[in-house]
Amino acid sequence: MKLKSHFHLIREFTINNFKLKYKNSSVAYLWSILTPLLMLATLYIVFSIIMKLDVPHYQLFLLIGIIFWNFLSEATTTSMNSLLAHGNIIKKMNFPNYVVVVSSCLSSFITLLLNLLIFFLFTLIFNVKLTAIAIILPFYLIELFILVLGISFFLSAFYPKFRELSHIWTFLLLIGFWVTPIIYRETMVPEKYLKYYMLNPLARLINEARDILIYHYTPVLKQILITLIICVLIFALGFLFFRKKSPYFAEEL
Amino acid sequence: MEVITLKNTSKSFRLEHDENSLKNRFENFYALKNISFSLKKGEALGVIGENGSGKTTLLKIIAGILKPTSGTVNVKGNIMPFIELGAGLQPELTGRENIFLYGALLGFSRIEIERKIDSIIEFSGLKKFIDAKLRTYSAGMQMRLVFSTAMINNPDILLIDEVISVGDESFQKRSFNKIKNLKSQGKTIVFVSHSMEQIKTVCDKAIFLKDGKIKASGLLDGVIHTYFETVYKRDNNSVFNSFDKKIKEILRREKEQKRILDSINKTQKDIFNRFKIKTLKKTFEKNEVEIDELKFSLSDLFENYKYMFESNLNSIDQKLSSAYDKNDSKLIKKLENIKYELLEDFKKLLILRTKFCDKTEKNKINHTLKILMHDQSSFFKGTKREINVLNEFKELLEKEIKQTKNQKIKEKLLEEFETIIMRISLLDKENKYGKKKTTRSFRRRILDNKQTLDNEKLEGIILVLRRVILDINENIFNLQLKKKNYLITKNKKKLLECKKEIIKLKQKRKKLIDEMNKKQKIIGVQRKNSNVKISSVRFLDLSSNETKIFRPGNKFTIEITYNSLKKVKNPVFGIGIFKEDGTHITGPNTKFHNFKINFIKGKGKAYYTIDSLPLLEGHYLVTVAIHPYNSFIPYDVHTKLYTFKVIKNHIEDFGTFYINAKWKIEQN
Repeated sequence: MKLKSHFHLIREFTINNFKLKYKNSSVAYLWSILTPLLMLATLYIVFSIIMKLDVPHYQLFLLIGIIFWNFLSEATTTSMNSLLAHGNIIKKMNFPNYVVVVSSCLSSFITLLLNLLIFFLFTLIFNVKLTAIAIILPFYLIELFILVLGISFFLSAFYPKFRELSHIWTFLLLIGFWVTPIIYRETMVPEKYLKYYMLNPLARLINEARDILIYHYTPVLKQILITLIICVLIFALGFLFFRKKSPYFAEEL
Repeated sequence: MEVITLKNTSKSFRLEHDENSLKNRFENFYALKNISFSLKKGEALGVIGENGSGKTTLLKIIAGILKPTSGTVNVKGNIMPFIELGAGLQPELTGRENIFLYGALLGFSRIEIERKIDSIIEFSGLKKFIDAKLRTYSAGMQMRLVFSTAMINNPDILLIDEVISVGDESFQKRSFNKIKNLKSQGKTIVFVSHSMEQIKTVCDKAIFLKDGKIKASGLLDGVIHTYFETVYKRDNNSVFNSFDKKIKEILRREKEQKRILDSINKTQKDIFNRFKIKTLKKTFEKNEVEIDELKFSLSDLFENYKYMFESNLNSIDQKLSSAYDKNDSKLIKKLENIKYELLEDFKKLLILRTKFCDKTEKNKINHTLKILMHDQSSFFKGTKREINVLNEFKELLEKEIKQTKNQKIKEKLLEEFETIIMRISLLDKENKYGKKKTTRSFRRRILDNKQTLDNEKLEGIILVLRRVILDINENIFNLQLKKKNYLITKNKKKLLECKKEIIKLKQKRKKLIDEMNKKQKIIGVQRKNSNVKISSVRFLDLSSNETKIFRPGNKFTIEITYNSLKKVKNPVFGIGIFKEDGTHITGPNTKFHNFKINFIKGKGKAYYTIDSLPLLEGHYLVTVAIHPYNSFIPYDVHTKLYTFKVIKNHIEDFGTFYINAKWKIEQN
């Protein structure tokens, strides 16, 4: 099969994933918007009102973190399962397996984009103006996508043989939520751990996105490059691992 | 050009034995071991084997879905695998959406499919349902959708794994036609099926897999034969028992279905029991599918068994005919016993089959059953076995007569019934009077003849006697029928009268037969001194080899070897061909054909050749005679001593003759 037809496949799978997720009902889509909003409300109440965390534009600050985090956790969990879910096809047809993982990440990515629309609505409501620098956002989103895809490749290739992974991953996600600056600023992390802390690519991406969208900082090129390198590295490792394992999926499933 | 080449290909899986013990937990299991074969472009390969023999694994390896553990696989061209129904489809999407999805799996873009979607839907014949969700489709409908979509890919190589067997008959036919069509277009096909009929219609080569190894490969018939020999080498009785069990299971389930339907109808009146109805309906549907599956597997097994019996019978027939030639009476007896048992088992199988099929099928099977019994009875003509078979035949007919309501069919059946009873009574008589039947093919009775006036007279008397005896037979038969009627109506007086009359007639007949036998003996004694003898008669095929089995349209030659002790002037060679029921089909002789023979002396051979045998399926008897030019009293005659068999070929026809004719239709 040519690469062009891979593209058709990815598109077809993504559309179908998305359709199946909401089963053509708008109410279901409403839920996917409501989840981050409810999460936002809860976290906002707990950390801003009860714990009195002092962060400017805390609602927007939280929302970016939640949106990015939700994308990561949803995309990785669904794509980890995607090979199993499409086992019927993988076992019975000869077709590029990676398409399945890419498309399930992509359909989560669509949710991310829709959630970002909510975010922009919020910026209007809370009167935070967007500046020209926000134009880099798509670049960050692509970085985020590559990062998530890399993790997903690794997880999905590992999962058919090692089913305990799903439990481990839920656990890791739970930890990940707290070691990523979603509800707090990374500046609250003690100085001596900060160097290691900032190796977390998601933390970097969330930070960078907040900087350009809410606080209007001009990003530093060196930092952007470091993030990019980390994301591409994870992606490459995940993809290579996946490619090595992919001939055996049909019998492992 | 080789399109598919496998060289020493093996595939092993790691089998998990016991989850609890860590030692020896895994074991390497070879699903395929050292498979080597190659397939040229345009060839069709049938893959046969029992479940778990590695057929699907082989297809998956060819398709590239699985990677071989060792060895190489070389495939050139665009492969389209049909490994399992519904692979790549989404039950929650509509048929139309699934066409796009499946098309994308085949590497087509949305636009390309949009261009072709009308023809896809048309070929699938699912126009009405195309916008319904796939989960509402039946298995056959899903198959149609997949198959029609896959055909736009224009694949070079098709891998088909038993999927065609799903779907209704018209779809199967269309798919088969499509496959044959594709084959004639030069596509290569690998076809897995349990049904030998399907394999035979599609493939020209086959391999037989057993435990992952190639057990036989090459030409179709040979492979199928070894398959049957290895797979069905079991006690037939145990197989029949399992058949019986399955049938009982089906019947039980069908009863249950009825019960469920009843309770559904009952609860339907109760509006508040919707949930209950739903669950009931669900179990009903599930049961229905399971019954269908059971029936399907049964009929598949049945077809295979039938096929096996038929091929076995054919091979036995061939062995028998060669045994006849060698005149090895021990071997003949042995083979005949085998044949008898085979036929008995075959009949058992057919009778079992009638228990779980619909009416049209039942009629078909009854028909084949009748043909079979006919065959059996004619083959064992003149032995006790014939009577057994005829009695069975009678019972079958009785049942059928009871069941049919159509008057015309009933009359036909009654006619058949009468002839059977005639034959039984005839046989009974023969057995009583110890007269040996002459039609046993290998039991050659050579009668000689002396040309005398007395002889002519005696012959005439015998003919008259025969006629009278036949009349009496008919009378007896009619009386017996009457007797039966009286038995049913319980008219005792008339019954007694009938009985008396029958006894009278029988006594009369006995006298006549005694007389006839006496006369025949005289003729027989006289014949012994004849100068001309027929020493052997053989049937030859196209290449002048002896055979007893022909197909319609074959070249057919009768070779008569004679021995004339003295010089005999103007002899006439005559031949009579009869159907097994006695119908005289043809009686050519050299005199009628103006073929003049001046004289014969010493040993010689005469040939009678039909370029294209116009006879259809059945057993035929042959009489050969040599007689003088001016008289029908023969020097030597072998009356119905020789048999040959005509078996089916591609010509589908009914009756006795194959008549080469043309149809034409003119329409305005």
